[in-house]
Amino acid sequence: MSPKHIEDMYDAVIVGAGAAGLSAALGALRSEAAQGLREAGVEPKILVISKLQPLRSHTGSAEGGIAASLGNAEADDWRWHYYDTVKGGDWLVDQDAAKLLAEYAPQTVINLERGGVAFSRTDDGHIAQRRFGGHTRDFGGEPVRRAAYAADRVGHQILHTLWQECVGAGVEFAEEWYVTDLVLDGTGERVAGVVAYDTHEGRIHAIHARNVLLATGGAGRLFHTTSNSWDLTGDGMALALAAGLQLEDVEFVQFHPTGLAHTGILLSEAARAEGGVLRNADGRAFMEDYAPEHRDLAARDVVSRSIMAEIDAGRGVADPKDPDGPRDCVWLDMTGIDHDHMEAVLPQVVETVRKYANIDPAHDWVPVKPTAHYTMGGIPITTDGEVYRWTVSDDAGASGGRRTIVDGLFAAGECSCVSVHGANRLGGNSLLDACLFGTRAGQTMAARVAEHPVDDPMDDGTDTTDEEAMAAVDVAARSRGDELASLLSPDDSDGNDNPYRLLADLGRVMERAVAVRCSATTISEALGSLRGELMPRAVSLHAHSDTAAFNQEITAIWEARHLVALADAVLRASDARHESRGSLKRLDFPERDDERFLAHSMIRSLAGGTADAPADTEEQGERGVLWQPVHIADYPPQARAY
Amino acid sequence: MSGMDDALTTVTLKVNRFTPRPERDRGARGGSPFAKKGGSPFGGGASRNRRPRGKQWVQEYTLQVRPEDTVLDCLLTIKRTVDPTLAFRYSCGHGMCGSDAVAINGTPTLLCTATVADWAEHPNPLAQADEEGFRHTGSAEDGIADDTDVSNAEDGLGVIELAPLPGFPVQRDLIADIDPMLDQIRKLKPYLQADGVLATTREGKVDVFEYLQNPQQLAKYETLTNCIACGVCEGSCPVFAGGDAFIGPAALIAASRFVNDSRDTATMARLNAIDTADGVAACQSVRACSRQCPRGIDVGEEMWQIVARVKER
Repeated sequence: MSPKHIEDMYDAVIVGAGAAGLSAALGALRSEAAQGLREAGVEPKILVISKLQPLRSHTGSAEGGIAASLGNAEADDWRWHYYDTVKGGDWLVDQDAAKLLAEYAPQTVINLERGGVAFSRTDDGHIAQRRFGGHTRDFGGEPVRRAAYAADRVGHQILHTLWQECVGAGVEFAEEWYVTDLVLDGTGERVAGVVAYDTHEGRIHAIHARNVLLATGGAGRLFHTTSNSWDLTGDGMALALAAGLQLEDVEFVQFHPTGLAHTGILLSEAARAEGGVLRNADGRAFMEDYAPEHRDLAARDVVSRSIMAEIDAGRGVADPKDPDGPRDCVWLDMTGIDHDHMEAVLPQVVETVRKYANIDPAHDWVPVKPTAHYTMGGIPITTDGEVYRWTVSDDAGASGGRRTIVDGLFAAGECSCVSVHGANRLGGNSLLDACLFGTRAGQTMAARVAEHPVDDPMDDGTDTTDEEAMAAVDVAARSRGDELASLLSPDDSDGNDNPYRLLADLGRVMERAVAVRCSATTISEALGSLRGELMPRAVSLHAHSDTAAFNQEITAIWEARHLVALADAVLRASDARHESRGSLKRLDFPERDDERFLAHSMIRSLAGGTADAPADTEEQGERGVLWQPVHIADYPPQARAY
Repeated sequence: MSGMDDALTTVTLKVNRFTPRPERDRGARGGSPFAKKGGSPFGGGASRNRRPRGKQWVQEYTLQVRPEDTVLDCLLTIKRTVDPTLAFRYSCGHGMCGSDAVAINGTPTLLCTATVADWAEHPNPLAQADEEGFRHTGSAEDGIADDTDVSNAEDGLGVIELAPLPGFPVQRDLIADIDPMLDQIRKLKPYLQADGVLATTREGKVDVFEYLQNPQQLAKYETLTNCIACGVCEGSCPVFAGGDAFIGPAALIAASRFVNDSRDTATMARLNAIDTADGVAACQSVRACSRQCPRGIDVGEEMWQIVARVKER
């Protein structure tokens, strides 16, 4: 679906149509501000641009649950949820944000239910809840049933319900349009709009907007092995970098321990909960060497690190589909689980293993390896969803930094970082983050729309503030249009390379260097490959068909460039943090260091795209990294042990 | 371990390709702006039965594969190593997003759940002409498919033929325009219309904020909520894909999902909306829609049930 016509100016453009983008659209349209506008006879002009048809969004793959202290299954308290979230994030969590997350979680889940989500139910008709890793009662005590679920497909239910509600609300979509540029005005202090590529027509559009909200999801495709869909190419984050903005905490990427080898498809934690055991090449159940108490059910980051330690010690096994490849898997042994029981409680796991590995988990060991699952970091936002810059003045030192909001620019969901997940996200908190902070961002945006709507009946036509911003978008669109024409024009080089090959190579470089663990050496090797080989290749990519309509290679070229730019930021941020915390394990700095690094990394793109010789300045920080102190409100940092 | 040492073998993918003619060329062909736009007044209207304009050909790719590889794996390998211009939708790769429905050997199904072992066939030499009696062979410009491929295939697993999802206009290669399906789903108000009342205690205080629904009530519609709108049922339906006026099984499943939801209050309006010539009346109970549903919905049985509900009211 494409818009019937494109407005000269939109009140708001939302980029992305997963849980965060759709929640933002609904949050905006149902807000008091929007209601007030409608009463005054003004219909806000909002467009949702999405590179996929919304129902294809990756939210639909979320399985387990959405966390909220509803207390339907047993007594629960939002303060316990708040504490668990802070602890799970290894104290790199902004506590004001985590407090909102926990406090408004029940309201968020109930609103989803009232919107139509088919949650599983208790016998008395309430939303059913199950246990999830890291969610406890009494501030770190016994596990508590906090994750509201809908069988094993809560993400699918939420995505479809939000889309249905958007259909009911008459939201306008531009589907299978790919945003290539986020445009700020000349000062960089205010949003001007976006440039978007209509993949159906193969045409570039300048989209002028007074407000833009980015909700493009994560960047799992930085890695070869990922549970993420093929579309999670970090687009929103790369757009922010290219617009001269910063990213926060992008060195933190969660790896789920049991991705099915070759595919990276998730095998649920339930496989181990039901008795599955991880084994190395010698057949040894190695988790007892790393976590004697919790063994195979230790926290996700702990299990992933243990698997990598076995692999690094030469006790891994090769992916059976690539027998001559690296020995970078271990076995998941489920043969000890009673066969009938396994079929009954792990149907999805059994089906996935049979279908995609062609083996029977009742008889065969299953090859698994950690799979890139979630990017904790992203575009820095306030708890109201506003994107900001972090600046440190020369004389004030690290504590003297301040946030400066980019007027009209918002972000939500996995591409953003309000910092509720800190250094490691708890299960059940990602859907919650996307829905809750998506809604909040939409509401904030609507209030800003109401101050100055495009169809203002009082507007006498003398307001010319839009003109400069419109010109900026038009310039960006023209230059993107020229680039498109050149990508499509016949190529004289031999043109053996293509973006799909480049993405595969990038994934392998990143996986070798920073998956689960890294060191200065591995990071510098990866930066070498990235800058010496992958970046130049990305620049010289060229399409192999000159037909613009549905030319997927064009989009893939821009995605590859986005991922390569983002990879550079991830590597530099990993390099800058000389400690191990949450999902980031530095082999050369194995301990957490609260003295120096109880702080968010704020990384920008290095000017000009030539990253070889960055000019460090005080103002921009060493290698483009500044540090922002963590907001500590209620829970001072402690050791993190389960 | 079984399955661990499957030797590489080969498969040949015969892909029905289509490149749309650039718009300026289409315009040059003219056509009266006053001409009646033909086709069904329902669904996709004119676009549904329009013959696409552009270049059509069949291209063969022979690949080294393992039997358990999915057809999507094969196509991604082609994109990466042979031909980056081949167009097909895909996203999650494990049967949840619903974007990669195509016709494999003529049967609508998902690329990411179809394995080579299950779908490769040794070609019957007598059945190589298409329905118009022509055999399109690869005008493969890149010289990718040469004649030896076919004979090689006989040593391997055989041939898999791929075409865009039937019943929808092709846009490019394996990409079909499924907007007609989504329009039909949207037309039937696919969102919960509840009473909005908060449950209260006897004293009138708000008691529970969510709508209460017990597991038995949930069971009446839960399976229907699993629909991923991939279009496989529509492409399988001889009425829908045959081009007759039919709102289609996917839209009826969406309507039925709300009809059977105890929280929804618009049941009568919903039943009325599908009691039309192109609604339940158009379903011929062929039940082809059930066969390949990737979410295991017995679509044909659900059609039967909703027809009964319409008649009973």
